[in-house]
Amino acid sequence: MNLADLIEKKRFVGREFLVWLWFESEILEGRLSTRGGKSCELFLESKITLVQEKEKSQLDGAIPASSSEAHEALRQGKMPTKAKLRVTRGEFDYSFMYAADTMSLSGVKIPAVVRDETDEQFYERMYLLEELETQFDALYAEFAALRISALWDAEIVPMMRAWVHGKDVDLAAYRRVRGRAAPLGGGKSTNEEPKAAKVEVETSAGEALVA
Amino acid sequence: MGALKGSISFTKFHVRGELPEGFRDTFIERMRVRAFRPLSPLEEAPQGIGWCAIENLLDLEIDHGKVYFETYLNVGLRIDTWQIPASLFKAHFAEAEREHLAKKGREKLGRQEKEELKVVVTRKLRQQLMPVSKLIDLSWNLDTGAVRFWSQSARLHELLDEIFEDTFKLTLLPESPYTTAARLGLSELESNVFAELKPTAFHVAVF
Repeated sequence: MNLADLIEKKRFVGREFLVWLWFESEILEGRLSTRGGKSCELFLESKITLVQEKEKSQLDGAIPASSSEAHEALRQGKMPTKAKLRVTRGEFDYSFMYAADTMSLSGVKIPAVVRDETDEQFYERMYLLEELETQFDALYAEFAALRISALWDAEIVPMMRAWVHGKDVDLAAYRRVRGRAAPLGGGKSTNEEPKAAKVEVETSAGEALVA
Repeated sequence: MGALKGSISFTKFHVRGELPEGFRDTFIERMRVRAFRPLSPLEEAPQGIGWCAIENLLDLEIDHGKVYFETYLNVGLRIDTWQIPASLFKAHFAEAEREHLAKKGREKLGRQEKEELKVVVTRKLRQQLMPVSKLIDLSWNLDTGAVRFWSQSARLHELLDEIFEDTFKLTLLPESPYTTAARLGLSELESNVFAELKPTAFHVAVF
């Protein structure tokens, strides 16, 4: 698969990332953690759009992702394409619309910019924006490591399905599974070509990658 | 809204390739070559695109002081387009057609004549109108290679791809689930696994 295909045909992974953020935010009461201590609070708020082919549900309100309509849309097989997120890291508080397919941010509200001079204001805006992106990258790296791991289908997805259907999730079990995933880049390098058949390789952390 | 102030809405790209030696001077020279040139009503081009100073579409003089903000390259992309309202064009064309036919003492225009008359009417109307100008900020972190482009329009991304490569001789890679994972450190094996991923059905009631 060439690069253009990888970009276009794997856009669904961005939607799955948004479902995972939603899942973690709900079961962990908004307190998300990543390797290297990059923890933050993350909530879905005020707007979420879910689609399945041509069917679209656009939900507005205080916390629409927690509503029964949003969970019902997930149960119908709809996937979120856009959501308004609030991320708090230390004293920094951000809110923004996140578009899953392109991983783009819009309407980003950054913590108050205090400087007056244009140049200084620019550096502060960029610093605050890059802090948010670093946090978001760390979350995506956690998700991607899980997503390409054998743990995804075997253990994570059943827990997420239970959550979608309103069942209890064993939080301790989830934390244990999450902790077992090898970090991104933890897999051994290989010159093997991608195979259509099942490929299992032990990573340095002892977990299997499955394609 | 843009890089310096206002609402923050952008699409992120990453630059592929190495910065050439002495790139700060080279980039200024190349941006001057591709700086915006105002559209002329006498030219046929329906659109003009080029660089200008960030957040000032009238400032077409590119220099170091306006572009480099320490490790950032900040520039504006100006796109001017002739937009003649269809109803206005139709009315003026009908009038020109009537005058032309009366002058020639005929009842109908040939296809070639119609095309020529369209060009004449378009040129005349362009002389009375201003092109519609659009300014999009671009901010490039030269240390990390991240480029933020203050537009989420796919059509404008295509225009950016073209002028960016033509100006800087470097290509842009859009942020996407795959490219972000690759940037964050997918090994070759993991990249192969990622390429084989299939969508997850979260709604299936099996747990």
